[in-house]
Amino acid sequence: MTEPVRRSALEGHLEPGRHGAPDGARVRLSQGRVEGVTQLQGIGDGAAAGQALAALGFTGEPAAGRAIGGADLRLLWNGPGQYLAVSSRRHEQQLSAALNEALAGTGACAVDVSHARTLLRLAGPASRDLLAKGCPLDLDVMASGDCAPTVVSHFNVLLHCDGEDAFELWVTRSFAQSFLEWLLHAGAEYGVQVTA
Amino acid sequence: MSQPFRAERGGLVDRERSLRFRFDGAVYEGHPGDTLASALLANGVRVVGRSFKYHRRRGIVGAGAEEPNALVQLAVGARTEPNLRATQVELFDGLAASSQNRWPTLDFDVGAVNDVLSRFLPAGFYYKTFMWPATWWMRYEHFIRRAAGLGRAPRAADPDHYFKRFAHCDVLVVGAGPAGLTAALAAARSGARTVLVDDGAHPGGQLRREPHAVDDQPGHEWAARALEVLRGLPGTRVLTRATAFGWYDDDLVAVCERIADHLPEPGPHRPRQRVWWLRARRVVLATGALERPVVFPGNDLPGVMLASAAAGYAHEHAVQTGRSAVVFCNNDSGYAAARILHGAGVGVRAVVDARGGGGGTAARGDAQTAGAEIVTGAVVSAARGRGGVQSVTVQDHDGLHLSGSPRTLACDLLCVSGGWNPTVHLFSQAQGRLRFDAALAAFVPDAGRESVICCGAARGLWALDECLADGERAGREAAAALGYEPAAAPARTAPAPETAPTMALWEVPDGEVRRGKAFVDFQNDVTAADVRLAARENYSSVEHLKRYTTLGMGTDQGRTSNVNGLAIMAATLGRAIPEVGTTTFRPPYAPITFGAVAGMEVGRDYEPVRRTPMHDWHVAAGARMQNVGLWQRARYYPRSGESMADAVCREVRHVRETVGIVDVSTFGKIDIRGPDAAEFLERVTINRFHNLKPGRCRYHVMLREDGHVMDDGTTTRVRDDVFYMTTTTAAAGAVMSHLEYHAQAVWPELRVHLTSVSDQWGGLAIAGPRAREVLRAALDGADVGDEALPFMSSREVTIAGVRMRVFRITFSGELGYEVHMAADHALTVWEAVLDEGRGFGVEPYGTEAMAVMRIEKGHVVHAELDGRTIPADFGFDRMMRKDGDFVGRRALGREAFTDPRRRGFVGLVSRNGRPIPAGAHLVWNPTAPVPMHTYGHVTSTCYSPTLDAHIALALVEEPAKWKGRTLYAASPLKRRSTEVHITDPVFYDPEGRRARG
Repeated sequence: MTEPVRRSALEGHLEPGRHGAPDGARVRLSQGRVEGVTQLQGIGDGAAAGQALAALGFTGEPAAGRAIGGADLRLLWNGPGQYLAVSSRRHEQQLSAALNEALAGTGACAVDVSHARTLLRLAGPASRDLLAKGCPLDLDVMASGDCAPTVVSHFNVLLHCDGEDAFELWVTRSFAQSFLEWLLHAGAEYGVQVTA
Repeated sequence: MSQPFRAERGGLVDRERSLRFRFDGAVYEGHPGDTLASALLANGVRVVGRSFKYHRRRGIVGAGAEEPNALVQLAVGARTEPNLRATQVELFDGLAASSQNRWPTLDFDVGAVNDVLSRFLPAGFYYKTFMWPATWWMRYEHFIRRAAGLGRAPRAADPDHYFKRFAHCDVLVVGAGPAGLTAALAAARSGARTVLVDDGAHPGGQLRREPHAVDDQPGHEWAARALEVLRGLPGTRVLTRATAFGWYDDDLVAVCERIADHLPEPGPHRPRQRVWWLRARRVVLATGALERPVVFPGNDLPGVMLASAAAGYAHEHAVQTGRSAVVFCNNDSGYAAARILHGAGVGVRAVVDARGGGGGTAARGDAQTAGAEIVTGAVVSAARGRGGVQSVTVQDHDGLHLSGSPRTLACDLLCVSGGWNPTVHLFSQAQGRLRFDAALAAFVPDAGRESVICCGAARGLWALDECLADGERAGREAAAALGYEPAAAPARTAPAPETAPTMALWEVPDGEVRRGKAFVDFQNDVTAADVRLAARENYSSVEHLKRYTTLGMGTDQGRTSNVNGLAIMAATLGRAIPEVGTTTFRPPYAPITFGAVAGMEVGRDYEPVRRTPMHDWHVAAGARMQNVGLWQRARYYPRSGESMADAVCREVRHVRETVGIVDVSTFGKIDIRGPDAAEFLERVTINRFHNLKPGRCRYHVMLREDGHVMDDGTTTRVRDDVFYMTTTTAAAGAVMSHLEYHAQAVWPELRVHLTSVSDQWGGLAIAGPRAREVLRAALDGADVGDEALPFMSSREVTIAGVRMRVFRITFSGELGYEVHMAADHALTVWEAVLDEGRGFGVEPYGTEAMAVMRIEKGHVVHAELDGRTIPADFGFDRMMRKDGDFVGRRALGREAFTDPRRRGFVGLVSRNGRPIPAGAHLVWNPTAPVPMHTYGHVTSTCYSPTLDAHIALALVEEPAKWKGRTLYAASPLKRRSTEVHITDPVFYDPEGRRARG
């Protein structure tokens, strides 16, 4: 039997269209969808990290605060020794099973969190201004490929800059609707174009 | 409409356009570029408010944040705002302001009787009078509260938006006067990320208030051009109408930007104000200086102003603050003011200079230009007039006493300059030390943080050429310290006049022997006599002086009064000014609104809401929702006409008799894995885990280091090295931190990884005699029989492609299962269980029914695990591991924990059919006088539909002795007491047959 359709935390709450200031939307907001999300634990640092990541097919040691990889598998740094492993293709259980298999013997492990995080995509010339209303990091210097586990207002967010003025916001599922409401309120002065 | 005091020419206002505004109901006109103060002055409005204590008529004294008198209430309704300085309110069309602290009108004010009675209202009157009889305070308070306070707070909710935002920069420059502009230019041109903030709408500082020339351009034009250059430099940000109001640790500077205060309304979706939290690597303070008044009798008459303010109104706004002026000064800037006033058409009769030698060459030239007589070695010993200054008395002095014969000069404007105080507030907040500079007669910045650099007038440089050069130096220094290469300094030309030094003059001599109030602090009506009285009454610390007399309090925080006040106090005590010192400078530098502080965090955005995957279903089903921490949970599902009690009883009965489901997605869930996971669990709980077989669950209890119970829950061994722990909803975050701390810091050698999966899994519990049938139907035939899934066991099933883990555990005491499924499928599963289970009568129940059933079963929650209880209090010591160590074990041997009289866990049943009050204490005789001995207290209470009785859980000392006997549950707070029978805490199915069935 096929798996039922996933019902995200924002189902029925992400209203496409223009929100806030009517003259020009300087922020675009949409929900991102991926297949599998896995929390990698105990990657360690230095050589141990290199070894563990090599097992996943990555060469070299990624720097703290950076994201690496592509659509099949990308790693977002999520704290010392921790990564969020995201795949747009590989299904949730298969992803964590495959990663655990690959990591066997390295001391690291993978835990499926595909349903625990909701992904929002924020883009547009005012996206940094919007985030700065709640995020104390220096967003001016965040470049494509940078990521940081941080807070935006009261919300724990894994912030990933993945383009010119474009961000992935990974937020805890149960907070997703509240976070969306915050983003729309904070973004109202810039005008927010929401797409499904 | 005429503006009788608007000069015919000059000024930086836009004369082409007129703005209409109201003050106390009367309609006036001004121009764009005006402040409310300049527009009022242009219309000849001289009395703008009543003073706080004596209700004396007061006029405008200053031109900025230092203004003590011109406090107005702006707008009406929800947008009304009190205590705004008219000097800082930008004029807009339709502005409506009213004066404060008067009743019924500004002209006729009943409170002015205080002025007549003033000799009975000295400093400290309030402290001396209202302290006896002590019991009368409550009566006094009523009247004191009515008299206290300035302005009226709005009653309605604020309709506007406020935001905060964070920003980072290399160099933050505070103040966009001459020094700030050159500092910002130097820093930004070197490549440093620079932010320049200024509290005015039009930066330029003194360049707009006086006719200066820089690089052969008019000063204000040079400033405007500099600003344009800055705005064009990449990475540079300029904030105007923005006040840096606080310095905090590690050079975090708070700035309040008034985005829409100069507009009638902010406009749709636009914020009114925004607080910037600027993290700067270097802070350049170019905050300028404020002129100081001189204390003499009658110095609070409308028409007595700071000379720089009068000159500023003349030059910037083309406003004549009087027709005929006298200037009284102890430094050269008074002469310049005379020249500027003359330029705007104000007649200047005389410059009265307290210095025997008078001013410098340029100053004398200024007086000549103004056609003013120069009187040296003399002071204004008094100002006189009704409703405003009409004449001043000029007399010679020798520094200690007045001498010679007094001479009266008629005038309607007295401009006073008692020297300048550098604006050192932020520097001082940044832990900078101040030094009293006798030559400048002012406190100036001394040693400070390496990252905070003062420049220009903020550090006692008064001449324009010096300020421009000093700003350049500060900007270069700041940028160079961060590794930037400063560009070559541009050559600038500005006048460099010869000046004569300032003479220290705080109060005109012989002030104490003459009649007439000489004010030090206008806003708080503190006179020189009050300061001397405080000194005589032994208030020798400047901090005590402030609190006793209220000197330096209020919106202006003593900008015009502090230095004079402490100088007078020092003189009275016979001490030097540096010995007396200053009061502490604290944020905010200028008043900010509560709206700006709160920002977005009001109403819905006050705190976030956590929602379970089934949230929308509950709401659609008509559930009453309840806040549990940040979570919203379904409390009960009332049917039409049902009260809460009805609904809860129905839900409980339905679960006990048939079957129900409840959303338990809020439980904390932690994935614990690794070869040492079992060992780790044994160290952080009181339980044994090495022997737990995969697929089995165990009730666990976790202690704090001090032996008290921290949390409980169930832990399931999924595989040999993978455990799945649930925690209570309330303690989920704290437990995760506790475990992380022990894994990372205490036993880093253990190979164990912790992952919060609280949001990965939704959860529902099915409970009731028909629970297995419902589950079986929903699971589409998977084996959940007693053999395959015995009590306290778990298995993973995948049904309809949805991964689920079923646990045979119960909180209600009935046959029960918990199903945890991936969150995006939780609602689908919830609906499927209701759908498939309909034939078996399944219905949803809420947290309230769950709470009743757990009390009936004697299960503990955080009402019992309140941080003061230990395992033995609940009999959990029986499941405690006998061998090995765990967090909290060693503390359990403490004396109080083994005291035989320690309270233990019992049940209570009401004997008279009345509810048992929550939080009640267990006493022998509820009518005995308090305090009495209490034998215990009620932790949880409810009506039990199953027992048809009011029951409760309680902790009572020597429980074995009390069981079967009777006490009173007394609540003095609710003035109720109920006779209760003490029983075993498990009221329902004590053998647990139903759960195992």
